[in-house]
Amino acid sequence: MSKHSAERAVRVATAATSIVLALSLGAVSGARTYSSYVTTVLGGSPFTIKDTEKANKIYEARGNGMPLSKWKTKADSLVQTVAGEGIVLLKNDANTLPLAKGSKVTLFGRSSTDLVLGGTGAGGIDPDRAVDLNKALTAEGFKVNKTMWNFYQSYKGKPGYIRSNGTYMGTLPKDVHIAEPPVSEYTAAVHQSYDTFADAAIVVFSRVGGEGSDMPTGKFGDGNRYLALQDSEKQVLKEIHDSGKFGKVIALINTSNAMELSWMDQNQYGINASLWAGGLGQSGARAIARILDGTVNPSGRLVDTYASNSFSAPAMQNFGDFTFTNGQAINKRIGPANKGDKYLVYREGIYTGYRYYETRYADSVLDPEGTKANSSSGAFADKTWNYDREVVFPFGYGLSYGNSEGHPFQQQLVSSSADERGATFEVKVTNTGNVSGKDVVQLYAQQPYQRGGIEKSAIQLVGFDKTPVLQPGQSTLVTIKVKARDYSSYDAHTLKTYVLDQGDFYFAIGNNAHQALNNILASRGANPARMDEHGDPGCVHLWHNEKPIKLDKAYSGKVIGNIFQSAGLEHYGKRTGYLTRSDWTTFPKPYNKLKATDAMIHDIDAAGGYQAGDKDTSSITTKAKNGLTFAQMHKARFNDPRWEKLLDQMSVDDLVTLVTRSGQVAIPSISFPAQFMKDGPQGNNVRPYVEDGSKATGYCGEVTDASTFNRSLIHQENEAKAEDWIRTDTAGAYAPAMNIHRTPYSGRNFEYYSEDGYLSGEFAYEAVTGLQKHGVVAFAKHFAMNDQETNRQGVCTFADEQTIREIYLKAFERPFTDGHVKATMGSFNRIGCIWTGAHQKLIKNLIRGEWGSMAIVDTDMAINPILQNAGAGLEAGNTMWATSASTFHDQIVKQAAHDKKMLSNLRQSGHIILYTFVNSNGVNGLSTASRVVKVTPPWLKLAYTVVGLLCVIDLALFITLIRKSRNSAHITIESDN
Amino acid sequence: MNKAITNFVCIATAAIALITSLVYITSKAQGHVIAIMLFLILGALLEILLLFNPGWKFVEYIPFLSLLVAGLLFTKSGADELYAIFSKMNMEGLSTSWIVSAVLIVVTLILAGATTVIYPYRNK
Repeated sequence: MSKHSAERAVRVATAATSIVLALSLGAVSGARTYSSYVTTVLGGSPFTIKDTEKANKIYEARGNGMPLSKWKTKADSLVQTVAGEGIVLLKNDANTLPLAKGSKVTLFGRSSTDLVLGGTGAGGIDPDRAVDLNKALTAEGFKVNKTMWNFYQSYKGKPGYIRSNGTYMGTLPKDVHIAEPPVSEYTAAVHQSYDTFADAAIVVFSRVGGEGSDMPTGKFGDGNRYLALQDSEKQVLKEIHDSGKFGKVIALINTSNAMELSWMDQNQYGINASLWAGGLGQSGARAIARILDGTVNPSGRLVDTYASNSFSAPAMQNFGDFTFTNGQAINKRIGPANKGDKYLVYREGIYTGYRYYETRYADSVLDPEGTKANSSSGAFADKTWNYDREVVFPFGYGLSYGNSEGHPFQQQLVSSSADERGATFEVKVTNTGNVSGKDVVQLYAQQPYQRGGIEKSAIQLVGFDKTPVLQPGQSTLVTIKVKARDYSSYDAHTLKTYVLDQGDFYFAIGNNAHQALNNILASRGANPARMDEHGDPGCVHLWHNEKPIKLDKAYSGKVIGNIFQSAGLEHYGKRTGYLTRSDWTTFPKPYNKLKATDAMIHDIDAAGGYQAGDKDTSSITTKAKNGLTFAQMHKARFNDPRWEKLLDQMSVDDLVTLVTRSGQVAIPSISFPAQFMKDGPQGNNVRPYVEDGSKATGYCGEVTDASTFNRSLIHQENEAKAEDWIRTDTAGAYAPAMNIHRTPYSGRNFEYYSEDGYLSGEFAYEAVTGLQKHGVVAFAKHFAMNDQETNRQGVCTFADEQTIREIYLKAFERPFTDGHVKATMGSFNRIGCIWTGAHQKLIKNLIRGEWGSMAIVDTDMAINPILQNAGAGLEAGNTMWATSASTFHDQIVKQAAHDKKMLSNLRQSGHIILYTFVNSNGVNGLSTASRVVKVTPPWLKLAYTVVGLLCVIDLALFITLIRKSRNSAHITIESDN
Repeated sequence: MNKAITNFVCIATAAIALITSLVYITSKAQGHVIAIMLFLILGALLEILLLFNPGWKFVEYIPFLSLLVAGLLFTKSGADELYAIFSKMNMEGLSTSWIVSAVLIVVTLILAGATTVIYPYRNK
């Protein structure tokens, strides 16, 4: 090799190595910034525990000790049980279902090969681990048309023609597709295959939502108005009908969002039976198969109203994207990072979901002229408003096998009592059908309403329970106890607290909200000609309240009073124009052209409004050498004086790290180990099992959970989730989620329970207590009023106090009070103009005050230091910022050292965080003698080694190059001359 | 001939570095790192400077070093982009212009590396 060639080779190697080194350094440096997150994903630990002496290890809770393989099987079985009880039988003409075992069936609809298991984002289920419908049906003995199945599976269609399902990122409207292959593209083989698999056609239509974006209300990838039946789907139904081949046509509606389903009863489609299934989790498809063949008798009930037009809810009028008319001026004044130029006005007030449809129906029966209930205002299905045209399936609806009507269970009110202290009802349930099954007892209440008084729903769920399996002829007694608060109203104007109004309170059982209402109307002697079905007064209990009774004592014992005046536009001198049942022509219109006042902009700007405290922080002790450790505080009371000594040991940086990095970074000064908290409501879908690295169980979605109406089953399911959290070494669960299905179009409805706050709160309570029973810190989310995804970052949400308390906070109240939830994840939005994390009245007055809770108040994913401002948040009582990254830390760490108020707030937050985690699985494996030492995680060690090697090689090459250059007389830099 | 090729590579490196900085500034990056653009522009100018034969030994490594720093910072900022996606801050994924920037910066580095190999032999 010539000298030139050798030098060139060295130059090539130097250049190549330098490039790889530079890019590697960049990658390692970047990954190091997010080392906690990367460690979570790749495994390993950012700290190690050294025991200074022999001491017993502390365990808040231990796993059940079952071998992992057995546990996986058991958990999977539970998923199937929940799905089996959560699936709802919507229609069953002439006992179409169950099908005979071994039936030959053809699955129609591309969704049959791609079931909705949950949603996207936090509720994502890995579709690779899911049991598909073909596998489930075949295992149950059905013969499935493989020609059709293979056609759908291999169908490519146009680019992007795949429905989003279970990815971590959200879905934008333009990317949303029904993904239904045109019938015209069915092959001849497909058509011929019908003959062999003609016992039944099972057509599956799905809709899926996700975090970060709502469902399209207008045009989307291949259709318009996402929850309506699309042309491509109509063609499928027509194909089935026109083929004339199939003995039975069964529709499977697989969605957590209330689709428009009036087509089910249209003769042109010939649907004989129909099932509804929400997020099915990893193996819920097996439950579908077992319901289809009658192994499982369906007992689920709908947790949302299914309207014929998905736009007909009054809340839909003010859903989506609204910008202040002076949005640009707001951004100019306080900066676009404040995300303060969007708003929503909840003009519908308390009339969300069935509270609207059923109340309007009641008024159309009792006083149609006075209330204008039958007016054209808000009529979507006809020229004038008519309940039967507007509502397809009411809240609480569901059928079972056992008789031709689908209601084989007889419910009889055996005893009942109600007064200002509460109510108790005993209901005898008898299976009068010919197959075994479970029934749901639903108890509803109607409060006295006077025109112009407090707005009241004509019906509200106040109690429910599910029976055990009843054999034909068997009976059981169900007892339902109700707190008086659950049938009271919030009077924001006169008494400024909860009240039991003077007048008649009706309590009724019914198979759904509408039937219970009809029972009450019958009891009140309403005109039967105006009712759509006869009610049964025998199912009703009446309590007459002689005088208004204030219920102003909070769970904590404190007095309840107005705290959300600033959430209403009226606070800023504007008028909302709420919907009132005294005049249904007040049906809301979109609140356009709202201009933010100076006072509103001031409130929006939390960061700008923060006033720093005294610069002298010397009175706050830091870095003391008291010798205490985190683990030594296990089981110590919250006000134990040792907490102050422990906090004294922490430096300013330690406190800021603990609070703004979500406890996910180890703090050696107090031997605090990094904590892991992960999504989500459908199981731990981020961290794998420690034992074998496989993914944890994917449970059913919350809508399916709630549809079971089975408290103990959902408690059991959450205990199982806790076992998964233990086996994945994760201390905190970002679950349950209990925002309200304000409209059918929220992308995240799939991981919220229902349109009803009471029902949501009851299941959230079961989830919280199930998780926390086994040492997991449950983060009830998203607190609060995060009921749509559009503009969720910062949207100003205007509503009145009654609505906020009765509808939206209702779901959180029981988990916080009776459930003693240990943490809550906040929300990105604002209530009124104030970001929830900086809303003092929300946190200090409500959570700490009325509810008496010392739960961690966490932010939603901490990503915006302006909107989620640390100074303002800490002052309001927000405890923690949900990120392991250093963004927020870097923002305030210097300020905190010279801001006494901020440092004091950091200590208070730190106290709550440490207290919570030391009494959770976060303490597991430590002892009183444990010392936590930060270490470099294995992946980072490897990265450092690689970069180090590259540095050495690069340096060696460069030195070689210099030497060769010196030794070479031939290589000189010549001038052009 | 060698000189023409060398000059062409230097000019191409400078041009692509400048184009990269322009594409990068139009991308939906989480926070545009000014330093990346400065090092790209500096690298481009220094590549042009090579055309005038400064006469210093190893002078060809100076623009290369500047562009390497730009590449390093760009890769580091890539972590921010990925974290933004995983943390749901960015629900749309990497923007096309960011991806194009990434490709161009790699091309720039390869060309700058090639310059260091051929530059000493440009007059041979």
